[in-house]
Formats: sequence, C-alpha cells, structure tokens
Amino acid sequence: MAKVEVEEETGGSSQSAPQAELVVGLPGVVNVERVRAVAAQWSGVGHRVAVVYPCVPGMSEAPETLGDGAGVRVVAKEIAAIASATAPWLGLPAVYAALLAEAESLGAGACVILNPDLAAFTPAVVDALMRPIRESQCDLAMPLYRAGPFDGLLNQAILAPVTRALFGKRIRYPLAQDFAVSAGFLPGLRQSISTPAAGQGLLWPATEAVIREKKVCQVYLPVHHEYPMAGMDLPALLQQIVAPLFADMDRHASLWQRVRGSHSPTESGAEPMPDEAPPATSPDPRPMVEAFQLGQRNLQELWSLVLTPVTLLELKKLSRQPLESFRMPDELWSHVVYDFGLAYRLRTLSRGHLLGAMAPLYLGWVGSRVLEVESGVPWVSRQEQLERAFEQNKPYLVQRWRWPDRFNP
Amino acid sequence: MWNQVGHTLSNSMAQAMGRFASLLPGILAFLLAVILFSLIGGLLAWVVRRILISLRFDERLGRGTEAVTEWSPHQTPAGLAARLVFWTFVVIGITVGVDAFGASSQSEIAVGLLEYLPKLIGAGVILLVGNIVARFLSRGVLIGAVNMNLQYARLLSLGVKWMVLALTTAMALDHLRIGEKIVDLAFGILFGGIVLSLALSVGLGSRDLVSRSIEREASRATAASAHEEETLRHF
Repeated sequence: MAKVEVEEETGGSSQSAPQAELVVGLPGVVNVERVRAVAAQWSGVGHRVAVVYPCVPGMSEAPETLGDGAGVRVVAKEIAAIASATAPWLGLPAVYAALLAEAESLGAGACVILNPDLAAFTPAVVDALMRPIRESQCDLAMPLYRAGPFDGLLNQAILAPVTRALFGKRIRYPLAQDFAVSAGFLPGLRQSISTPAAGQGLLWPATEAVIREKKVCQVYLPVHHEYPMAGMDLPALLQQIVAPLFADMDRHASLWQRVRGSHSPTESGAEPMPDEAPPATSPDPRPMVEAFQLGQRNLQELWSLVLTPVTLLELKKLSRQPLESFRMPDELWSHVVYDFGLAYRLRTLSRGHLLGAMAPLYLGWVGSRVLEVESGVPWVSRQEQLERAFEQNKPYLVQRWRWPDRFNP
Repeated sequence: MWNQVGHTLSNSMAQAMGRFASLLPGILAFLLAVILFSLIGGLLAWVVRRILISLRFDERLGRGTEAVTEWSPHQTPAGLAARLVFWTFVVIGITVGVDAFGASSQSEIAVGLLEYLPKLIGAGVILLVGNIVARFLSRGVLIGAVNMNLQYARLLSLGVKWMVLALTTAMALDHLRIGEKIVDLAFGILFGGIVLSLALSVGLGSRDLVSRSIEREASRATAASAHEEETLRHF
C-alpha cells in the first residue's frame, strides 16, 4: 500500500514550497476532514497534487504531517471573506483570485476549481476535467452536466443564450463552479478578477477565456449540484446572478459588438443520452403565468421605461392568452433580456428595482417553458432554438446599445 | 387742486423710483455674485468630474456606492460628486449675493424678503427630496408587492407615494411657516383618519374576508413553493 503524506500549511506565502503539477482549489467553506480523506486518494497517481481551500485568518489548524511521502499537499489559504452571506453556493471572486494565485505560486501545470459543495471532489471527476487540458491543449475546461428540463432555468433562459450570442461560444454552463484552467491561462484569469469592477461581480471563466482568445473545451461530468435556495426569493436570485452578467456585458461591450455567429467548443467525456421525454412530474405553470399577468397589469409604468413599444405590445398580447396557448416567443424573450441589459447599463431604473421588475417576465418565460415541455416539445432542441434566437437578435442589441434613444422600435 | 395732486403723484413716483434705483446696485450685486459663483462651480465641477473619471472613481468605490445610485439611478458617483460641487457653489453665491443685497438695501420689504429666501430654498429642497423618496419607495413597494403576488399592489404603491408626498408638503409648509397650526392639525387628522379607517375596515368590516384571503394566499404559496422546489430549479 502506498504511503500517504498529507502536509497541511497555513498562511499566505508558499514561495518555498515544492512545485505541484496539479492544484485543486475548493472555494467556499469546506469540511476539512473530508478534504483530507479525498486528497489522500491522489497519493498513488504519480504526480504531485496540492489541494487548496480557504480559511478565515487565525482559524487555520496547525501544520500536520501524515506519513512520509511527498505526493499530496493540503494547503489552507487564509482569506478574509470565504463565502457570500446571501449566496454561499456562489464563489467569491476574491477567493478565486487567492486560489489561482496560490496555484501560480506553486507553479502548477493546471488548476482545477471545484464547487464548494464538493460533489465533484473525486479523483475521477478532477481527472475528467484535467484531460482536455493535458491531451487537447485546452486552456479552460468547462463542465457539461446532465440536467433535466426544469434544472438551471436561469441558465437556460438567460446565462447560456446571452453568453453564446455575445461572445460567440456555445458554453452550456457559463457560471459553472467546476472548471479546469491551464498554466498558460492562470495569470490571465487571476488578473481578470483582480480589477475593482470585476472583483465585485462573479467569475465568468469562459467569457474571460474567449476574450483572451484561449482555447475552451467542455467535458461531460457525472455530477449533480443541489443549491439551497431556501429563504431566497426570485428578485434576490436575479440580483445575485443576472446583475453580474449585465455588469459583465457592460464591461466587455467594445469586444462583443465585434463578434458575429457562434461555434461549439470541443467536447469530451462520456456524453449522456439526452432525455427528451417529458418528466413524470412537472411544476404547475399556472402560478407563474398568473405572476406574469399580475406584472403586466401593475408594472406597465416601469416596463415602459425599459422595453420598447413593440415589445410592450407583444407582452400585452401574450398576457391575454389563455393558459393552454400561453407561449413566450423566443424573439420576444431575447428582446426583453437585451432591453433589461441595456437598462442596467443606462441606469434607467435603480438596479435593485430593475431586476425586481424583471422577475414576473422571467416567470412568464418559465411558465411558457413548462407548458411546452408538458405538451411534449423536445426541450434540448427547444433550448438550441432559443439560443439561436438570441444570436439572431444580436443586431437588435447592438443597435439599441449604440443608439438607445434613436433605435427604439 | 389738480396741480397739488399732480405734484403729490410726481413726488411719490420720484420716491418709488428712487427706492427702486437704490435697490438696483443690490440686485446687480446679487446677480453678479450668483453668476460668478455658478461659473466657478461649473468649472470646478467639470474639473472634479474629469479627475474622478481619470481615477476610475466609480469602479473603485464599487458596491459602497450602490445605495447612492439606487436613489439616483441616472447619476454615477462621479457625476453626483460633480453636481454636489456645483450646487455648493451656487448656494454660496446666493448667500454672498443676499448679503451684498442686504448691505446695500435699507428697505424693510427687501430685508424681509431676503430673510425669507433661505426658507424658500429649504422648502424647495424638502419637496425635491420628498419627491425622490416618494418615487423610490412607491416603485419599491409596487415591485415587492407584485413579486409577492398581491393583487392590490398598485393601490399599496399609490398609498405609499401619496403618504410620503403629503408628509413632505406638510413639512415644506411648516418650514415656510404657512398656516403652521392648521397644517399640523390637518396632517394629523388626515394620517390619523387613514390609519383609523384602515383599522376599522380590516378589524370590523372585512375581518373574515381578510383572514380568509390571507389563509388562502398562505396555503397556496406554501403548497406552490413546496411543489416548485421539488420539480423546478432556477439555478
């Protein structure tokens, strides 16, 4: 049986530490015992691995050495704030920056960052994420999860279509918390979250890779993350996730306006069969459609500050549809998202109010998607149609972005 | 007799013209002070804005300024700082102008008006701030109520807006010392009346209706959210 050494270091500097070929970063609050137990599994892989996790200054444990080998190191990196108080399942940019900096200082050949829930913290998943970096010379490996039609709806409705349309890469999960970074892309990614503006948002690794013209790959991962949403209402969720996307859109406006079309990154791993059949149980679309209709009746004054007259008219027509035929057209939804992104930039409304006013529209889209899936429409191809619609309507966004007053159809 | 009337009129006319003429240097001094300080304020505001933009002030302040920009969404922190500089100089200009006017004028009416001017400015500021607060709060209540699926969201929002506006108007009138007691009394009666009527209507008139409505909403929300959490994930 191979001997295992798990060294534990604390503190910031690790300049004198030996090089690690692979650094596994775990942002957020983690179970240290579990980290040690899983880290021990890398002892026989033949290359040096360092597992880095953040801890509050002064709370780190004393250095501990188990065994006498030198394969696996467990490093506790002291960081002032480890996790967001409102959304602990979203990694903080400062934590990512610290983990990436540690990986750089250890001279890592690659760095794998995993979700704080540790669902992906197994040698097999880490290896799967690492493979495209090692074998295909990718700079960034993003995950592809097996998801159902009602999983990650914000991702389906806004994040993935907007990222694809703006940056021309078909990244299925642009805000994924599991990803691998090559040594060549480590400094760039760390710098991207070191600016004051980026440091307050979220980390969009795929966007940063595309902007820096790095090679992006996607890997199928047999992982499922559960995010505890209890106590968080929808406007707060939009504020947490969509507001940073709009902020990023504003930050990179000069870049995405030049991008045309899109293409798929290289995919690897065992592709699961897409489950196109309607699920056995689906949510009731009625409350969502009613929330949309209530918004239509009451938020006209605010929506008219954000949306164009044609979009408002389309929404009015949609609100009069009976439940059975309630379907939000892709073009309409793309215009809504683009207009809200523009309003975020122009500060047409206060930003807290803006995302709150978007919530009924998003629920309308969710209701429409639920009804489509229930009626047997294959949702994977439906999602592809939606993303294509965002891409086709990008000229609308570009024109609105450049001439918000003159171009107001 | 007509000669005497004409003489008296021409005398009073001459006196009035003389008084007006004696005010002219003061008025000119006032206008000059206001214009001069406004120009200096405008120039300094421009310089401050340029410096703050070059220092990436908005980005550096980041989340600390979200609260400011929430209340004034069209303004960036740098823009607000520049505006603050400009309006500070305008107020200084008005103060200097008023002093110059007061020093050159002996008229009691003019002195009285001058003393009243700061109150007018104060009342204007109260009304402006009240209007911004009313709009912000009414929008917040409207959005919050819609997202809580309250059918009477607009009514709530309008109620909040007019309550804040009524309060602001009462404060402005009080500041101007116009009908002090009447305004206090009217405002007390209005607010007290609203609260009492709401309490009576909920407590007596529609107690059963309200309790049934709350129960229905609560049970529907609980059942819907439980079912939703099982089958639907936003992120």
